[in-house]
Amino acid sequence: MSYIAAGYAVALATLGAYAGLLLRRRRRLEALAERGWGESA
Amino acid sequence: MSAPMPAWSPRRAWTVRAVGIGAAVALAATVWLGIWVTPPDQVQHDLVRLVYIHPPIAWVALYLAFGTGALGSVLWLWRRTRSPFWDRLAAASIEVGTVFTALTLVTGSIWGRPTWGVWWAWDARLTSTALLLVMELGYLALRRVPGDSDARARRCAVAAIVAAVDVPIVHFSVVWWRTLHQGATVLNANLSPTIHGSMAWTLLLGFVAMTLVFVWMLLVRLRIETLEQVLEGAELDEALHERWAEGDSEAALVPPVAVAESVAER
Repeated sequence: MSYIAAGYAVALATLGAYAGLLLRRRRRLEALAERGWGESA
Repeated sequence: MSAPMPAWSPRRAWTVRAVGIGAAVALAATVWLGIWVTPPDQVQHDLVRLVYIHPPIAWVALYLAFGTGALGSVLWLWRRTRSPFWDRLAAASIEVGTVFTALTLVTGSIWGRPTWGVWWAWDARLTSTALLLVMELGYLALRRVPGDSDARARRCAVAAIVAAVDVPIVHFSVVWWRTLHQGATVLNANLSPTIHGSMAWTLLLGFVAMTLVFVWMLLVRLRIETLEQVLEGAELDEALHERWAEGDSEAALVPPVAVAESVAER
């Protein structure tokens, strides 16, 4: 059962972490765009 | 200095949110059915539960992500359909696909350890999938090489098409060579799935869930790629304006006699 838990945990944690990273990058760029690209990325 | 921000209409924003919610619900249902509801398998016992996520992850990595990446690359290379959108689509899809390819190898390895007794074997299916991951990482590295955007798009498109040759090798590796890896459960030669009942439905839901996760990630990544390209253009514009301004002020400071002397000396 530990292999099953490990498999699901790795898959969900990786997808969750990557999704969080994508959302952070998108929000940062959108905030930058709203300021008119005035400050450096 | 400001550049127009590429618009994302409220309708598109709503669609992306709906796909994201759908993906989360489908993924949660797959985990619940896969771990707690479906029965153990006669041969694999509880280890069959990993099958509800491993093949769907591999489906996204190999066929959806790499298929979209290769298609975008071909459409960019073909003069009649060339548009920066296809380059952005290929880049976004291959980056998301790289995460799924790495997960395919990791979840497969976690299943392989108790089943085969080893974490890794230089088996045709495993090796060709690892080769695909290396080529995807190479593609991502190539995108970071500085240069003209058209030249970057061209070399990346060629790299994606070369790497795409590995996809049918991965798929047919279990047929062409004697491998440890089992044959196809769903996409076999007769197209008759060798899995039934609640196990088949849960596997199908796993495919739907991972497809939705991929579509959501692709849409968000595509948005990032578009914003980054606009930012790149805006920064280049700003740098050029600064240089021109510097050039004008330097020219204004040099007395005409000095300019004439420097020309006469040459």
